[in-house]
Amino acid sequence: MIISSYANFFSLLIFSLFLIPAIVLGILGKKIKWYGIIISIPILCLLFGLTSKQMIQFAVFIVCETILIFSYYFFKKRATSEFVYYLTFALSMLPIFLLKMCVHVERFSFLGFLGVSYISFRIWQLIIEIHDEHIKTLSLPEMLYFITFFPTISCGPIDRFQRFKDDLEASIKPEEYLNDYLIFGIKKIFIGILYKFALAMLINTFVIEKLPAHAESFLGTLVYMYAYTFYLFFDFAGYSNLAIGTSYILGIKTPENFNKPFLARNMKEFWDRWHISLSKWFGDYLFSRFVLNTLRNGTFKSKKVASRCGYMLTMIVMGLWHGTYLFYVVYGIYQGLMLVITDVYLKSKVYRRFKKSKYYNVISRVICFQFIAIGMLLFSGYLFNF
Amino acid sequence: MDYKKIALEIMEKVCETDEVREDLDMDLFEAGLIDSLSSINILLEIEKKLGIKLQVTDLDKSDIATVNNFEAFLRKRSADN
Repeated sequence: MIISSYANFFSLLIFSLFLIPAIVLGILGKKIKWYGIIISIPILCLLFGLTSKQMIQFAVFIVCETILIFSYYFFKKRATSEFVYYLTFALSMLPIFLLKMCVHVERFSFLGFLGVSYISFRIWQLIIEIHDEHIKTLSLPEMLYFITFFPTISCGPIDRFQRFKDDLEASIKPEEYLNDYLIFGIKKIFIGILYKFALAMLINTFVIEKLPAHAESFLGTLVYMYAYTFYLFFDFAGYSNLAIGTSYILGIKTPENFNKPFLARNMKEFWDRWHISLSKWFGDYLFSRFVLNTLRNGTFKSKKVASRCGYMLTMIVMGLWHGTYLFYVVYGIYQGLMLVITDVYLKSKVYRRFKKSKYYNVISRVICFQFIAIGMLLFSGYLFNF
Repeated sequence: MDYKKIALEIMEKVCETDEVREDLDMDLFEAGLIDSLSSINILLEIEKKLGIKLQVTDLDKSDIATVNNFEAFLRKRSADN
C-alpha cells in the first residue's frame, strides 16, 4: 500500500497557497468555516482532475450517499424502524462493496477513486449516529465538508462528526490560533515531511527496492519485514502528520493517528497506538456493538467468549476493508488471533505478577515488536505471489 | 433514586475493588482501574440496574473517569429517558 495524497512537493505547495487566506482569517480571529467549505471545491477538483473518470465517480457517489443520508435523517425525525436503518446501511455499503470487488474483474478495474474507503467510514458513522439520535440537526454544507474534508480525504485520520462540527463553530482567539493551531500545525507538517519524504523514502529506495519483488529467501524476507514495518510507519505517520497539520491550520483539530506504536507491550496496546482513528472507529461501531448486542440478545452467555468472537470478527472485517484479497483476510485472522491470545495473556498469573517490573516491560516490547512486524509482513502481501 | 449508591455499586463491580469508594473524584483511568473496554461492562450494569440500553458511543471517556462524573451521567440519562 503506497499512500498517494501529499505525494509530492508540488501538491504541498498548492495546498499551502490555499491555506494562506485561512491563516489570515485565523490571525484576525475570524471563523474559517466558510472559507474552508468554499475552497473544498477547487481543491477536490485538483485532487481528482476536473474531467477525470475519478471525478465522475466521486461526484455520483457523493450525490447518491447524500440523498441516502438525508432521506434517512428526515425519516428518522418522523419514525423509527430497524428495517429502514439496516436497509439504509446496506445501501450505503453497496458502492464500496462493488468497487472493492471490481479490482478482480479486468473490464471494471479502472473503477475506484481516491479516498472511497475513508469517506465511507464517515458516511457510516453519520448513519449510525442519526439512528442513535446523537445527530439531531444536520446541515448540507457541514455534512459535505465533513465527509469530503480534503486534508484527510485520502487516508484519514477518521474524524467524528460531532467533534468536527464543534470545531467548525468554535470561536478561536487570535493568540490561541497562532500558538495552538498555526504553529502546532506547521510543526506537524514539518514532522510529516521528515517522516514521509526523508525517512520513508530512504527506507524504500535503499532497502525495499533493492530486494526482490516477492519473497524468495528467508533472509531477504526477514530484511523486508523489518524494513517494510518502519517504512509503513514513517510513510503513514508522515502522511497523517501532514493531514493533521493542514487541518489545524483550517481550525479543525483532527485526531491523532499514531502514538509511538513500536513501544507497545502487547498487541492490544499496539492497536491503541497504531492507526488510532481506525481502531477506535472499529472499537466503537463494530466491536463494542457486537459484544453488547450478542450479550443482550443472549447469543453469548459469557463476556469472554463474546469479546473474543468480537475481536476475530472486527479484525477480519478490518482486513477485508483494506481490499478483497486473500492476504488481507489472512492479516485479519492473524490480528484477531493476536488479540484473543493477548486477552488470555493479560489475565494470566505471569502477566499480573511481572507487569510492574522494568525488565519485563523491556522484554515485552521487544517480543511484541516481532509480532507487529509479522503482521506488517502479512499486510504487505509480500509473501503472496499472484 | 440514589444515583450515588448505584454509581458506586457499578464501579465497584467493574473495577473489582472497593478502592473506588475512597475518593469519588479519583481518576479511574489514571489509577488503572478501568480501561476503554470497561465501558462495555459498565453499560451492561447500567442496563441491569436502570433498564436503559445504551451504546458505547453514548458514553464519553470523562463520564466514567470518576465516580462523581458517573453519578452525574446516570442522573442525566435517567432524566432523558
